[in-house]
Amino acid sequence: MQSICKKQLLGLTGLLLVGFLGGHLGGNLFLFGGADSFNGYAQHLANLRPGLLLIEGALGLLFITHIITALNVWFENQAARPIKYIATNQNSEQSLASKTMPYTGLFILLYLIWHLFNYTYAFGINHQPGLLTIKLPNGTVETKDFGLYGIVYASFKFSILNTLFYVIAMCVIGFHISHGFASALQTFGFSHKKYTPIVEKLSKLIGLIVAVAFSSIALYILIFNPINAISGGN
Amino acid sequence: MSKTINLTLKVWRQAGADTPGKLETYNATNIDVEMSFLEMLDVINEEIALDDGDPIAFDNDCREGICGTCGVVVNGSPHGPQKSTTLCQLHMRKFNDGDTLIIEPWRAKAFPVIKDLVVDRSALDRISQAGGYTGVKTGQAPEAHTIAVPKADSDKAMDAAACIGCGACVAACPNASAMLYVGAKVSHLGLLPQGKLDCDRVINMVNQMDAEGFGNCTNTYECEATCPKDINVSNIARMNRTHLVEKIIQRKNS
Ligand code: FES
Repeated sequence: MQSICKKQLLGLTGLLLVGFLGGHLGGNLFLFGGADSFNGYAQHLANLRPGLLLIEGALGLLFITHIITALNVWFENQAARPIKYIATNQNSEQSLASKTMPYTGLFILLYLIWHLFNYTYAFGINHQPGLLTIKLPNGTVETKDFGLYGIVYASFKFSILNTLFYVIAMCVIGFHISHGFASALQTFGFSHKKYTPIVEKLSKLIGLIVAVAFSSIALYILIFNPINAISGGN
Repeated sequence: MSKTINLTLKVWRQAGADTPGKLETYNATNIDVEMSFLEMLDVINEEIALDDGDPIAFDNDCREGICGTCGVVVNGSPHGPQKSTTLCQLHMRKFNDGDTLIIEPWRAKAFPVIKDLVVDRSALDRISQAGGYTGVKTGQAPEAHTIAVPKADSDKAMDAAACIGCGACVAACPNASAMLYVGAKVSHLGLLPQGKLDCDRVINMVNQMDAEGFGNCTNTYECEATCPKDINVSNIARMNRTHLVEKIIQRKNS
């Protein structure tokens, strides 16, 4: 495949994945609404089966295409300069985000695998219960199964390490997008004196929104403990 | 007598394409700051020659920033630290007394070293041969107004035509990609009515670019920052979309 076609494929899959993240974020916001609201949404998604499989398959294909194309581009680029410079360029104007794309990408892949095991298929395949022990307003303590909401809740509330990793991963994804979005448009040939600087700002804004919005949910549960949980099950 | 400075040069020396090279240290003493970088190298070479050594090989021709022959990487920056300037137009007043300069050739798989700082840039010529040309009728020069060219287009074409093909974009790109060079060649003729004759020029140039072993552009824009002629990355965008359109037309016609 020609280099430009390859990069357009990389850009297209990247843009579609950003679109998917937007949808995913919408779903996650149900976590702010509490157990019924979030589990209702999750159930809604699950009810779409087997149609959901089609979407999941397409999504999987998107991810795999994006990753394989990116790796291919990266390896080719390494090979294009077999002997590296001894001095580093003091006048470099390259952004840190563009420089680190392969590394942030690989980190996101790691996170993705972790996410699939911990959240996506935690409930559906393992039927892991989402047990939470909560303190009711009248002082009594109660343990019950909160379903997928409970799993997510416990993971953010009772493991700082887990939450930290999650927040870092969200920042890395945001950082990856901050270069990726504008870069994809350039690769498709969008360039305009007035609008390209705006697209570059928009790209950073989208990255920031992804990082902040996803993280805020985890931090909200960790800090505010909205349902007064005192311990998680499992 | 104008000001002079002393420098330590670490220059890449390599006897031939297949011999391994290494940095060699030279003391550049009493360098007049009004000299150009190439004149400074001339002075060093004279000293080396007087010592019966092998002078440092470097490419140069016009020495007035218009031919694109010169170019080495100084402390990691192609054409040195001054923006929008070729190496031959760079003056020693840009450097401070006591500086150490690491001088390396353009580094890219597609630009094999011939000797010391001289690299083979014929890969760029082969890309131009693959599609960086246009069909023009022979015979008498036509009346200037027979083919009208919008001012905005001719301006952009002229900006792209400023490319001197020195290859600094490739040298600066972390991926050793030639996209800025090829983008300039695409805009140079593609914006003019005469250049619209062939509809697979860009595809052919990209095929050649890939075959030469240049890397893939990842939009880091190091090329634009380094280009001595300020070629804009919007030329790369134009090349990207022209390529897409040509691909679609090609598919439709086949
Ligand atoms: S020698 Fe001609 S551009 Fe430098």
